[in-house]
Amino acid sequence: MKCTKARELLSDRHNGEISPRAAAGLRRHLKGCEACREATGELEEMLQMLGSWSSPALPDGFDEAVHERLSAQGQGQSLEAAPASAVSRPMWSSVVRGGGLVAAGAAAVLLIVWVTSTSNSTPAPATRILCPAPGHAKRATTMAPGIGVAARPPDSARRLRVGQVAVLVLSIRAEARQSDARLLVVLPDGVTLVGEGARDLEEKRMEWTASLDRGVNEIRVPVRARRVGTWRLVARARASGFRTVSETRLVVTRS
Amino acid sequence: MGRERASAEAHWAALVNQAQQGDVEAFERLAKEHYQTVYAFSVGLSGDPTEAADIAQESLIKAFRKLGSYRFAASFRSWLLQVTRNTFRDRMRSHLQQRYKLRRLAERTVPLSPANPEQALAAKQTSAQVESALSRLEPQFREVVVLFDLQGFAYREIAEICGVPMGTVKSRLRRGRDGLRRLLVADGVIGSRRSGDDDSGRSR
Repeated sequence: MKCTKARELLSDRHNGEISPRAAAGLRRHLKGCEACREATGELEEMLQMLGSWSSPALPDGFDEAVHERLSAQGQGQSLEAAPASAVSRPMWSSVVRGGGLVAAGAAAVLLIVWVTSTSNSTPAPATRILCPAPGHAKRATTMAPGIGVAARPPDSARRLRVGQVAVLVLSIRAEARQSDARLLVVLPDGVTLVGEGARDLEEKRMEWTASLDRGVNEIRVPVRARRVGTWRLVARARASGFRTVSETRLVVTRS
Repeated sequence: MGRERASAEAHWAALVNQAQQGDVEAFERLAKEHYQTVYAFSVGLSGDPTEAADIAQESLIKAFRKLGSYRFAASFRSWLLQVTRNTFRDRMRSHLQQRYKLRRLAERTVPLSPANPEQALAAKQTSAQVESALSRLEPQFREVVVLFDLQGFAYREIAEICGVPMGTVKSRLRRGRDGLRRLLVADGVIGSRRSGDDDSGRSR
């Protein structure tokens, strides 16, 4: 047997695809060929290495980048994020802080479009409500679901007409408590942020630090539908060793 | 494997149907289930995680654009990896070719020094060494080794992805493994030169 043939058989043997006769021939060859014996050890070592190879994790932002590009293709609309801008006057955050929308008064009432009957809802774990603005993060409150707060419609059915206002809920799930998580919410072009008195605000990008509880953490974002299209709101949370993205899709139709 | 695989394929086929009717979300769900596979394949092909992210992204977008031409001849996963393979090949051919060549040349001129045992044990480095050696293997062998030994695909699926008969896959795997073994030995990653603890080795 030639060495080249023996090398092929070594590979086959590793895969368990060798006939008894070929295996016997290979054994005979190996007995008399030091180079092939050496190659056998190297091959096994290599295959063990290949077997323990693991792909690096998907890079940050991969999901979103693909999503952006797909959405642009699919809708003929670009879902580009607005340029970063500091949240200078987070007035709108008052709408969502302190126990959710209930406490926010008349302005909040205007905002709730997805109120459902919550009395018969099944008990769910308490949900942490986060306020998407700097300086208010500490006021995140824990409340049971269904205290008159906008309920989440099924994912596929988030529809609004142009001009309508709604509170979008972005859920961030954490497997363990995360203190000092960096949160980022980005609004697409087709919707604007709504503040106190149902006023439109300019902020498109909100970044702040908050702690996340284990389980579901919700970020509530009051928005007004501005332009027809399918739009996406993204919330990102990041802490050391923790990273997650949540998104909500919104279909805006003609008024 | 059979039943699980079949139900996965049926599930993908249903999503493909929806996506072919213009449901972008269905395509995204479909794509998401394959992100890691596409990315791992891209890393294996390019030997560069950053480059791989570009390749993977481009492949997914291309797949979306070309979805209308997918006729269920192969499983969706095979088809998607075909697209990934072609994307990689196109890039190799294009202006990036120079960069790949340069990098490989650099790797050849400065071979990885025989790693000390602790370093060799570091999984991360091992992966990098494997990826580096792979990137110097000829593409037609490289893709088969990546799919079979790194990603665990079956011959049938590799044949679909690479568009060659199963017999060709098998022979490329043999040659690819042997080529890769030589590269890793030359790099001092495997074999007696690495550790010196193998008396029957090259000490002569």
